[in-house]
Amino acid sequence: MNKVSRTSLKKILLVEDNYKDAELTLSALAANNLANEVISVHDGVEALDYLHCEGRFAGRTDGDPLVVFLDLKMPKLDGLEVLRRMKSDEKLRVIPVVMLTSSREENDLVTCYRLGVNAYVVKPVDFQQFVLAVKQAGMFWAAVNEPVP
Amino acid sequence: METLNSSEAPPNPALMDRGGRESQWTTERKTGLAFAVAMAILLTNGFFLYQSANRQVETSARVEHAREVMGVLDQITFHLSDAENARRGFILTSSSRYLAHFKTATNRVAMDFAQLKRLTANHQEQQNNVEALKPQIDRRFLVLKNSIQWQQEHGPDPEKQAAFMDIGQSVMEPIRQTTIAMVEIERRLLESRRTEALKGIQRTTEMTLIGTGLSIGILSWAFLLLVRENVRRRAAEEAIRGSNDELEQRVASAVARAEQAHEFRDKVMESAVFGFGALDLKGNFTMVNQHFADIMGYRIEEMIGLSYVQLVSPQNLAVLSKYFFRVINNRSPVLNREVEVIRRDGGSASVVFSWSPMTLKSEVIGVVGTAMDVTAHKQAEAEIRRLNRELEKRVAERTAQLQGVNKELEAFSYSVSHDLRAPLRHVDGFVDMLRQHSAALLDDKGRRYLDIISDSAKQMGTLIDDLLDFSRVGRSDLKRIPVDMNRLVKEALHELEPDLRAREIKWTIGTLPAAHADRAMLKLVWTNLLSNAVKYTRPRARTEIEIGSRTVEDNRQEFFVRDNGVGFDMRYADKLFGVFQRLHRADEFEGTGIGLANVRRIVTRHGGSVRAEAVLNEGATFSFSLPVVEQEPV
Repeated sequence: MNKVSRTSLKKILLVEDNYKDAELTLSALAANNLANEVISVHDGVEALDYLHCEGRFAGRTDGDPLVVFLDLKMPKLDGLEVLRRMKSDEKLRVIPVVMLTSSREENDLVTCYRLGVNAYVVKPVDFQQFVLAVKQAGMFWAAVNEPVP
Repeated sequence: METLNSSEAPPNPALMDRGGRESQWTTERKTGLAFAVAMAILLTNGFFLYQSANRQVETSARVEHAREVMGVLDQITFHLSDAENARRGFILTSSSRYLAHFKTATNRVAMDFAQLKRLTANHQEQQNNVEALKPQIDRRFLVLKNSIQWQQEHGPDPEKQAAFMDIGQSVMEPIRQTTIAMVEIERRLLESRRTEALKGIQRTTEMTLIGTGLSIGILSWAFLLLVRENVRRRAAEEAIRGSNDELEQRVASAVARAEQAHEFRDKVMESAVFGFGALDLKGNFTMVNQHFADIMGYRIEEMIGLSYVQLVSPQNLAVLSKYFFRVINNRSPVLNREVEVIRRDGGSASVVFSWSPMTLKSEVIGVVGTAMDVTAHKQAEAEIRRLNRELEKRVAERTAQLQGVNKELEAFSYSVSHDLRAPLRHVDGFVDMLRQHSAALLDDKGRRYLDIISDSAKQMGTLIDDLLDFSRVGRSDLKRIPVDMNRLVKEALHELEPDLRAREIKWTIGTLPAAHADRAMLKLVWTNLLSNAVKYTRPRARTEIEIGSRTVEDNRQEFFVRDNGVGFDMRYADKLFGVFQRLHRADEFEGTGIGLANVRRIVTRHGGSVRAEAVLNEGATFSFSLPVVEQEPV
């Protein structure tokens, strides 16, 4: 199987609690014509459920996502915790995680990188900028990067 | 000055003769001798005078005697004459009266003769004469008597009487001769006596004169000696008095000085707020000043003779003695040791003392000590430590408090940035989506409105970011390290690279001294100032930006960025550094007006200050000053 086919089959997991943000992100992703399907969950618990194929997603068989776009501030389990758990899980740590958050706080950056985040993208207010950022990120992970086999 | 042999007396000026040598014949001796001699002379004179007087008396007596003898002889002659006259009378008158006279005369002669005999008893020759005279007188009287008798018996008989007279005359002659002889002898004796006496007198006179003369001479000489001596003595006395006076003065002034020095030293000793003391080699106090006595609670008199041993507890004694012996044996001082001492009243005090050896001619003769009562000190120290601990506790509490507050603020600004940005994002995002979605439905006005909405959202986003930055700048800890300013400027310029690409800028960058500051924050300062300079010189065809520094006061360095941009009106200069304050409109020059506020905040936190000068349309100079650094830059 070649790269394109491999990647295009994989899904992108978007973990975002704010539906408005979710909508904007989805719209941006759609604007980039990424072939990948985007799964949207609204909090950390759901994210982990999906990754672990539990809860709502019990019995999921479509494999790990290509990349996880993760927001920091979320109710119940926040982004940091999801990141921590993902990166400490043998199976899940190989999945690339991109923080997609409005926080540029140094602490957050440091902590995420310490935990092994693969990328950290700050959501700009400017939507065009945001679209561009998403596009670039999406393009990179979906098209440029070699995914884990 | 010659060194004195202790067995010799020092030279006595009073004994010096003209030659200056000490004379055996002291004036006293001389005068003594003189007086002795004079005395002797006088005595001798006196003796001789006495003798002479005696002889005078003798001579007088002799003269008297001679006179007497002669007188008697005269008497005899007279009385013989009387007798003769009486005879004659009788013969003439045959009066019995004349017989009485004759008897009287005969008796008288006999008496005279007895006297004469007596008088001449001591002269042999005269005695002989007297012996000779007797019969002669007897014969005379015999004649006379015979005459008388004849008369009595025969009556007047001139012839017989004439014959008797002739016999009488011839008998008279030997009497006369004898008498004369006796007189002669007496005269002779007298003469010789007289001559003798005269001679004696002469001699005596001579001797007296000589003696007196000599005496006078000697006495005069002695007098002169004495006078001279006196003069010399007085001179010497004067000299001595003079030098005595001088000496006394010097002594007095030396004593005064010594006393002053002593007083001064005493004053120094007593004025010091140190305790002073001196100990002998046995460790007993020989001297203390009031302060030390006070420290120990004794009176000064009580401390003299006290041993240091008595002033400390037995536990401290060993160490103290070790120190003491180190001082007197090794001659090395013991400095600033703290010890607990026992006061007179039994109480204890903490004392810091130093001991040093006291030497005289390289011999250790004692120990000098200084002491300071640090009891209060120690108490204060303990109190300070206690207060410090309390303070630290309070500081820790306060820090925790502040940290808590900081954390709250962080959380606050965190959520602010997050939560405030989200709706903005949404506004902008959905406006865009609306623009896309309903493009057909929108006319120009509609599109314009959407643009405005979108821009406003973006602007708010920037404001929020800036506010967040500003707040962070105020909250975060300053990590001050030495900073290489030139390097920092270079880095800041590097960050501005995108803005510089299209520009023609002449950069003049001086050699900047190192600063002691938070590197990240200082970089922010430079970035802000430089980006401002770049921004506000955009209208210029040829931009000139100068970066430099100068030392303002001893402990401040001023850095500046000078540009030839649009400048600003100095009337509003003080507003420049306010938060969100701008002197130009947003459509003239972009920016929220937070940059300079940030600069001021950062510089102020470093203990520095900012200022700005400008001429409208000519350019501006923004400066900030920092305290000076002394370490190696990073």
